[in-house]
Amino acid sequence: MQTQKIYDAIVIGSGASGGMAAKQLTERGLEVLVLEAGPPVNPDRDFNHHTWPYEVMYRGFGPPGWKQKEQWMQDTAGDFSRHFYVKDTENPYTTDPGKPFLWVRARIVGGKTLHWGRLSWRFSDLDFKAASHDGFDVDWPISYAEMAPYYDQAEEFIGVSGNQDGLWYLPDGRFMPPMALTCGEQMLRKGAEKTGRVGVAMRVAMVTGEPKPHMRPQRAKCHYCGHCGQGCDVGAMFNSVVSTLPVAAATGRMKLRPNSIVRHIIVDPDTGKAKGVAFVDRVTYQEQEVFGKAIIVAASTLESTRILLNSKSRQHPQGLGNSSGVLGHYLVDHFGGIGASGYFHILAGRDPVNEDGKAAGIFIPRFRNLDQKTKHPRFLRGYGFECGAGAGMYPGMAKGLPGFGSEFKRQVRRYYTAPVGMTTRAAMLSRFENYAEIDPDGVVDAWGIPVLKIHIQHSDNEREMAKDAAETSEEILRAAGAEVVSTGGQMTAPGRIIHELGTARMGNDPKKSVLNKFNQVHEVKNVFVTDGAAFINSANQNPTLTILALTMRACDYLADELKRGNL
Amino acid sequence: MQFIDNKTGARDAPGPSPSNKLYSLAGQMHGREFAGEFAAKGTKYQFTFTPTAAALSNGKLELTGRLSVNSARGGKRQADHVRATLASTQGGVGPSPTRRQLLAATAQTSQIATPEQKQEQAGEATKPATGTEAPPNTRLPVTESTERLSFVAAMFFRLSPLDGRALGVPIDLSGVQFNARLYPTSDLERELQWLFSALIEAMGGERRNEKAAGEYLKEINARLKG
Repeated sequence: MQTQKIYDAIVIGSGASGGMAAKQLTERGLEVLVLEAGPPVNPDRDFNHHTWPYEVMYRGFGPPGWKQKEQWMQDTAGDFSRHFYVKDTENPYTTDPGKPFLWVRARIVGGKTLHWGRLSWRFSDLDFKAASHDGFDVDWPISYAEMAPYYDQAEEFIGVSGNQDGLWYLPDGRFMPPMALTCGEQMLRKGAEKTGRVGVAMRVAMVTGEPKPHMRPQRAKCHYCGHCGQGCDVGAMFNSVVSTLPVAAATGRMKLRPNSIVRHIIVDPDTGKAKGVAFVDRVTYQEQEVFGKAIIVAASTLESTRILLNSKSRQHPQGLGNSSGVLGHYLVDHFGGIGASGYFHILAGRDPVNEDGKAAGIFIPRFRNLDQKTKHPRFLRGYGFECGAGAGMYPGMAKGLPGFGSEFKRQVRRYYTAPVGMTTRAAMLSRFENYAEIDPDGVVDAWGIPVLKIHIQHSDNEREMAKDAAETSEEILRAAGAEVVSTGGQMTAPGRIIHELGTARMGNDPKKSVLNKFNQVHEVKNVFVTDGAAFINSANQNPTLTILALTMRACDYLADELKRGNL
Repeated sequence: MQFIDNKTGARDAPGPSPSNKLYSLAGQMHGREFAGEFAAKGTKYQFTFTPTAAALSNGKLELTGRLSVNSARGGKRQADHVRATLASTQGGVGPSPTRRQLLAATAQTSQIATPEQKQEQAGEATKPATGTEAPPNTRLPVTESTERLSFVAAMFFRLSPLDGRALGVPIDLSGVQFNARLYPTSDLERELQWLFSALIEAMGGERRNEKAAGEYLKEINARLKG
């Protein structure tokens, strides 16, 4: 009789968290199976960072109508990267009338790490203990002091470029050399300082110094081609394919199975513990089951929660680990879309240089509600600005210039080197009433798996924050000496910033949380959720570095507990 | 790196090829009908769903019409009186369609953008002339594609049970979900998208209004009949 292999751990997802989990656990001696819903990736074939528009039939715009026909919610997908993303025709989800959610999903080995923005900031205790600071919601069950060693490890491993900026609310880390600011960004920084704010070089997960020994041979120093979102086949940007997965594979203890769409976690009816995962092959539709001692759910925030909600059983009638009723709730996303843009006339008419090849700009960190002195009367928490200045490969600013003919072309060439823009990255308060559930009307995906219905909307806290951001961005831009040509804007719909977080929050109280402080499901000790679903709040910093650090920490704990026989 | 299954490349991977059951098919609105394609047992099929009537069934939109399926192997087959009952919808994100206010008394339509849409169309985020001061912003910013700027991007229907063999499709079509994508490129399609959006909001949104829903339904039927 053939017995089914029982892995030490099954990891669901191969993106930032899944890839890191595979690396950490295999290095600790565990036999790991990674299930990835999407197809395998071949960097030579699939990464297009050096493909020129003139080399492809539709000049980089793709066949007419492709996006609106099949991938209308995949906002950041382009002709050169659309194969990283899901097809919305096959992967529906539903929303309330008037309350949309823009859900961008990658489904390929490497997940969203193949095209992510790479910004890598630490959270501080201003974020982990935000509730103690302002009284809203609850604190994380962990502190910055507990996370700091894991932030160190994550930064060392993935390579993060940046400066030691000395800001307590944006802790410094282990950095490679920062990407230099452009002339316009330096002017913008001076403008921020004139208004009492700070401007720092963006910290990005890019190799900007000599690759460290563990990075070789897959990774090389960034050569500033500027097309990171199209797939980086020199490994300068951190992604799972060049970074975590090869390290895991080199241990000989990782098996990676692409095209494996997880339906649910299999629960042992006698013990209520997880014993495996049921999945369907994306291509053949064959149903399969695999078994493991521990399950790490790292399918990205909403997909992870979807899997837990779909994992109903006698012991878990509301979904795995959901006797609290909290699973699916406290969904957030950062919002953007508010800011200001204009021109630095002093920079107009100069010879263009390779400013768009730089994968990073300038960031103006949060300056509201840091302390009593900066307390704002109309909103809690805060926002920062992601900013950039300089010439781009394509003169997108031309669309905003009036005129036509030779004079128009002269104006485009003149102002091509002068644009500057600021856009906000703002926190959204975590509220129970923003949540995801399994669609109650029975909508399914192309494999018959029930989909999510997402309920989310902004509150007045976000709107007041947006108003303030519109005003301060204009103030900073003018102080920097720019001519301001646009301000304000609309708040981006939830989801557009692709920082959806929450829905399986961690906490000390099992009645009010899904996970404990080690990302372990309170009710099912051998299941861990290590991606953004675990977050209590969004802060205003990009979340991926924190996801990586949390994953490393959770995996250390998991490996120890497995060895002790506690799982 | 060792893949267990690395036969299928990222670019070449086909869409789902259902083994014995078709869970869903996806079509885009073209004029009065929806068209798309699906695969079954290695064969590609093109289909159209042409609704000829819209009604409310237990508070949900129900379209009735003809489903046509075409393949190189089986030729064209049809099923009439196919019912598509709305299960749920997906809100769109991005520039919203210009709303048309329907004048029930005269059965004429007048194209009036709401104040929010005029603001959107003028482009709060873009200003035409250099050196123009931005007007003071006394209102709180709005979230894109919400409230009066909201619209439906896709509707998900449950089709009445279909006979696969009669349609020349050798798999189970008894419980197919129809994913109807609304992306208008003509005036008729824009009107239909707005009417569907308004109807769905009237039946299920925060501004529930059954009387208005009835009016929208009449207008939808007028356009489906051509």
